[in-house]
Amino acid sequence: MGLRSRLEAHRQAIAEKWYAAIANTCYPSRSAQQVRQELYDLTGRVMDLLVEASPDGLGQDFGVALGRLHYLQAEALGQTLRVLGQELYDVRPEEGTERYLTRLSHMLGGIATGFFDEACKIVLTEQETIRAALVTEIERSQQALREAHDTLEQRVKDRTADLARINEELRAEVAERLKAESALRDSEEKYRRLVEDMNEVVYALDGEGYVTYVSPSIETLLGYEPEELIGQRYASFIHPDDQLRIREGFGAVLAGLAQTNEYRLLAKSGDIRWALTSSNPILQGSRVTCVHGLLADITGRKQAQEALKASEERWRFLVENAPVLVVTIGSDFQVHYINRAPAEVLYSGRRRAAPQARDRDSEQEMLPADDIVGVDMLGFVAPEYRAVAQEAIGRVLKRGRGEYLELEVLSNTRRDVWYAVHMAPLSREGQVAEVMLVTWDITEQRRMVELKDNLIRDVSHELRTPLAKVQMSLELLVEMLEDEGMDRERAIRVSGFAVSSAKRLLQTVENILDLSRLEAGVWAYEHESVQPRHLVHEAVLYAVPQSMPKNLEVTADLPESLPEIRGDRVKLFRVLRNLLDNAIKYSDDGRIVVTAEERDGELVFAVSDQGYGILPENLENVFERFFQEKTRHLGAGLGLAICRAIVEDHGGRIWAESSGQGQGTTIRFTVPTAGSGEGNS
Amino acid sequence: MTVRILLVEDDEDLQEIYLSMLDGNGWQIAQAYDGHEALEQLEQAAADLIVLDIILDEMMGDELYMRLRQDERFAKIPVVVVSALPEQRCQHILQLDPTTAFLRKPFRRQQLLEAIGEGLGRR
Repeated sequence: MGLRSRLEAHRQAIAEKWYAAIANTCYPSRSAQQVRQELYDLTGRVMDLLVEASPDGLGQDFGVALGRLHYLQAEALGQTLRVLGQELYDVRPEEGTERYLTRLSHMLGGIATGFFDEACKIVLTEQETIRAALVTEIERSQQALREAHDTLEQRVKDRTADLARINEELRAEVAERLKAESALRDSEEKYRRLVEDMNEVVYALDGEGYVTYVSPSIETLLGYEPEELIGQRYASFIHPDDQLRIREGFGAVLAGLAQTNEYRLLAKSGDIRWALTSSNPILQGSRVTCVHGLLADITGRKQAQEALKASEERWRFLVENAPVLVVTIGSDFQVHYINRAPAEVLYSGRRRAAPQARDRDSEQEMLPADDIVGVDMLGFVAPEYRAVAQEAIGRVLKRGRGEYLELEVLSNTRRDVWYAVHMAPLSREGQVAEVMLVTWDITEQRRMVELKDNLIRDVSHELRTPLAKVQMSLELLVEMLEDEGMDRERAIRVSGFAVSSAKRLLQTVENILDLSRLEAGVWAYEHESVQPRHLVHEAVLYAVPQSMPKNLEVTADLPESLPEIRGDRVKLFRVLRNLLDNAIKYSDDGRIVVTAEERDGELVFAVSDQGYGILPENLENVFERFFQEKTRHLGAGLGLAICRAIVEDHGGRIWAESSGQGQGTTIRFTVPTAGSGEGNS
Repeated sequence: MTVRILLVEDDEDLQEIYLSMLDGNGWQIAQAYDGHEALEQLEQAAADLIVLDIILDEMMGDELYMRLRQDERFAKIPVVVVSALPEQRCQHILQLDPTTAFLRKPFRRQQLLEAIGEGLGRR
């Protein structure tokens, strides 16, 4: 309860006491009522004063208030008495006015004093109570404050420790984080530089095929900066011819299959660049969301490949069209390569390439080129030369040096088919791994060499024999001349041998030269009209004296009329002359008949004798040069060869007929008639 | 006894030349123009030496030589081979008997006489 309310209660009690006292003392009641009001107001003012002086009961100016209270007390008494005196004047008390007023003033003074004392006591008590309460409160507050302070201090301490720890942790964390960030930056930098510095292009495409990333090296390749490509459709940079294929490939990547492709890209300049890409699907869950890939510029490689291919094709063309067989074989003689199938060459050997094939050992067959690869090369060689071939190839493999061989091979059309074989080692990594055979048919060449050798031998023999006779005759003659008792007749005969041998030598040499000229085609032919009848008669006239030493009759047998022929009269005469020379040479007696007749647009001449004849197997050979069935008659070896050359140059044929030894010989030849238009020009 | 020499040569001129070369030695000379004739001659009268050409009609000289070697009557007869062929082409017969002499045409009288003398000396 506050001071005012306490004072108020006190005032109420005092006021009632006063009122009763007044009511008992005063009269009329109106005055009593008025006094009571006055008192009430007065106490109210006192109370206000007290409260004002000590609003919280602890006012400093309490003494001053008390002084003023006393003043108020006096004033109130005076006021009351003035009121009451007025009353009394009107009423006139019995005991006298003066007395009455004095009593009243005592009584009222007592009441007032009591009131003041009591009020002061209340105030003091109140003051004391408040002070004590204040002290308690202060002490309590101080205690609480101390406790609070202590608690606070502890908590601050705890908190500070926490903060220090947290701070420490944070610092470590920050340091860690900085390190990680730095490492990440380094790593990222490293990878970025790796990606940007490498020649290959790194790219990423989204699931629709749009470029989402491409590394800067794309500029070197295509001339586009990455920014120009990002957001573009990748396919739009692919060469039209490759688009379909690469689209399919992209589909496969989207289906989850990594792809490697080579194709052409269109550069900004319009140039074509070759790219090799490997694309990898990037999965999110089971779905391919994008494609990452690596792209390498293989234009140089492709160009090199193209150049290599072109070069390879050129060499292949050369090899495949070379007029020789080119074969490579391994150390087991197995064919690795052949440029084409050898014509008419047979194979007899094991075929290793075709396991399903029957055992074809020793069976001869033609092989197509494809089947030759894998077979044993020795199977083409005639059995008697296989060991030679095998040894030679072995040497090439061992010594690494080329060799040359001539081998007989098997053929289905000819005999004695020979191939020249150049063998060269093919090295791989310093080792002779294969042997290359360059080989060609030398059958004809060998035959020509053989012919030439024979020719030289025959010619030298043909020349040597008469020369030897000349020399021997002359040497003998010299010896005979040195002898005084020389046999003159014999000396003349011996010198005659020398002369006749020299003549025959000269004739042989001339024949050789003529035949060479004929065969070389350098001997010019006249184109004149020739009367066959004249030709035959001229020949017979030549032959008659030649035949004289032998018992021979030379005649012509001609029809009434003969068509004219065109040709070289002198050379046609020579044909007849040679034939007649032979007829005389190879006959001892009998008739020699020259005939001519027209048959199928040709004039057929014939020279028949009844001499030694020709063996059937030699009917063809007699026209070969230096062929002599009987060697006794040297120098005859070229006559028929010359005849054949001249006849064939006139567009005719020549052949021999004989029923055999001792049965005589007929040589016939044809010359187209002038009208037939077949005359050789 | 007179020495008998058989000349086997198909060239008549050469036969005449050999005759002239051998003239004056007192030898009896027989002539044959091919192998058959030579055999006939030998059947009639044995020879002390044969001068043999190789390229002959009918029977060649080398064939005749083989036959003579196989016939004990004639196997020991010394032979002088005369030919225009080089010596190596006559090796197939010369190697059968190293004493067989070879003269390549042309040759001189002296060479022939020496070869015959050697052959006769070995009899």
